[in-house]
Parts: sequence; C-alpha cells; structure tokens
Amino acid sequence: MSSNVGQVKSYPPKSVLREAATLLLVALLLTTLAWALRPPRLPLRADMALYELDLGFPVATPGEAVANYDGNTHLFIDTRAFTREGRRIPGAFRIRQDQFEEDLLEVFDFMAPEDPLLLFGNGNLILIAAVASRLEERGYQDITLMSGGLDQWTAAGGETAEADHE
Amino acid sequence: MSDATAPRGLIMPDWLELLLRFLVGGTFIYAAFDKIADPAAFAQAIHHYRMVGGAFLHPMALYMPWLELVTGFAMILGVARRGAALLIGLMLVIFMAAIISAMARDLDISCGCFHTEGGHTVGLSLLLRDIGMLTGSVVLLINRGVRRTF
Repeated sequence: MSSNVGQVKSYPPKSVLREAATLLLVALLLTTLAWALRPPRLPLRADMALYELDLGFPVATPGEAVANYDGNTHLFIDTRAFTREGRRIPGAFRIRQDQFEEDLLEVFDFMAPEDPLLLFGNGNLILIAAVASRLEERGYQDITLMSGGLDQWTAAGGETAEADHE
Repeated sequence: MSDATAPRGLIMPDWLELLLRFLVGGTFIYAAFDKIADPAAFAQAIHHYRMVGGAFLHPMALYMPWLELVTGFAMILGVARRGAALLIGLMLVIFMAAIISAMARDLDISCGCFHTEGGHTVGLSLLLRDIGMLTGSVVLLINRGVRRTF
C-alpha cells in the first residue's frame, strides 16, 4: 500500500455509479433479510390512519396483543359497551368511557399504576384512546392500544368467551 | 504526466482524507443503529415531516437505515468509497430538503437523525451540520488521492 502513496488515480464517472449501484443493492439485500428474518415485521404498506391519529399511545396489532395475552405480560382492559357485543376476552377488566369512574372503582384493587395495560374496543382507536387518557391521568404509565376489534383478535388466534349480558 | 491527461479534481493529504472518511462514515453508522433496531419508531419520525405517503413510508423506514450503515462502512473501509460518498451526499441533500421544508412549515419536530425518539429539534443548527457533512462527502467524491483500504 505504501508504494501507492503519492500516486494520483483516475476514477471514471461510470465506476462511481457502478460502486453506488452495488452499495444500493447490498443495502437492499440486507434490508430484505432483516425484514424477513426478524419479526414482528413492519407491514410494507403503512396504515396512515394510525399515523394521522397521533393518539399519544403505542398501538399493538391484534397479533402482538395475542402474544402479550399468551405471555401474560399485560392486563387487558375492555372499553366496549357489553350490550352491543356477545363475546369478551377471558380475564379482561371492563372500563368503559361512559361509566369510567364506576368501572375503575370495581377493578382498582387489581390494577397497580406500573402494570402494563392493553386496551381494546370495537376497533375505534379514538374511543379507546379516550379511556387511555383518563387512565393516564390517574397515574397509569404503561398503556398500549390494540388496533382492530374482536374479529381481528379472533383471526389472530386470540380466544374469546361468552360475555355476561346486562 | 502532461496537463492534457492529468486527472481533474482535488488531491488531498492522506491523513485528511482518512479523517474525513471516519467522520462522515462513522456518523452514518452511528445514525443507523437506532433506526434498524426500531423501524416502526423511525417510520413515525419520518411521518412527522409529513412528506411521505403510505406506499413509501415503511419501505423507506426499513431501507434507509441499512443504506446508511452500508455506505458508512464502505466509507470507513475504503471499499467503493466514491460510490459511498455519492450516496451519502444524495442522502444529505434529501435530509436538508426535508429540514428546510419542515422549517418553512413551522413544524416543531425532532429530526429522527440519530435516535428515533427525542434528539435534535429541526432547525438551523441541524441544517448547518448537514451542510458540513455534505461538504465532506463532496470533497471525498472529487478527491483524486490514493485509494486507501484496510
């Protein structure tokens, strides 16, 4: 290498473009491998509704939520009105927007502020985020929202049980 | 070598070229790690600029960090370094266009340059830093000195 010191080399523009194209391809290959081998995979097409909402809380896909349920890592909070839905997620607490105080009082002893909570509803993230905001005001710090409703939950392999009708 | 056949361009001392390569390449490698680890958060950071649509947001969030890593390593190792300098220069032009656009629209956002959360707020200091890096990559692109590899 030292014998080259002081020499001036010529680089035709074509070789620069060829080098750039090679690097672009290498990066593309690594991107593809990383995407294919490392779940959870980011969907190739973004759901802009999730970005536009700017909910202020992380959003989990039903698949991620099922993994959290199976791993028993989160407390599940059902924000739906039960009269409209015949199914529920077993073990989920019920905290509805319109009966927030009463519902929270019922489950208060079972939920510590540091517990990771996963909130779900009928798929309307704005309604779920409204409950999440009120829980956040009460000191709950680790809140995640599930996108989709119980149909998506079931399709992702999540279990359901018959709901108690009111 | 006659003047007619002499290659045009800059001839920079070896030590200076090496220093520039480490500065520019190292910065791009460092910038890539957080984004590769959490592409979803990087996609959110890109979205804050409000310039990229749904079809391109995630592919860009997945691809750009790896391109930063590959070009950064190529720059430091001296493998395809002029191609790397060209790509880094082009990326910096895109970053600067995004920063100027965000500043023009008074967007109060973090740049998403090195960390997917927090980090520098988009502004003039960020623009000056990118201009400095762009200057470095252009100098490396036109430098006609000895190709040095490890």
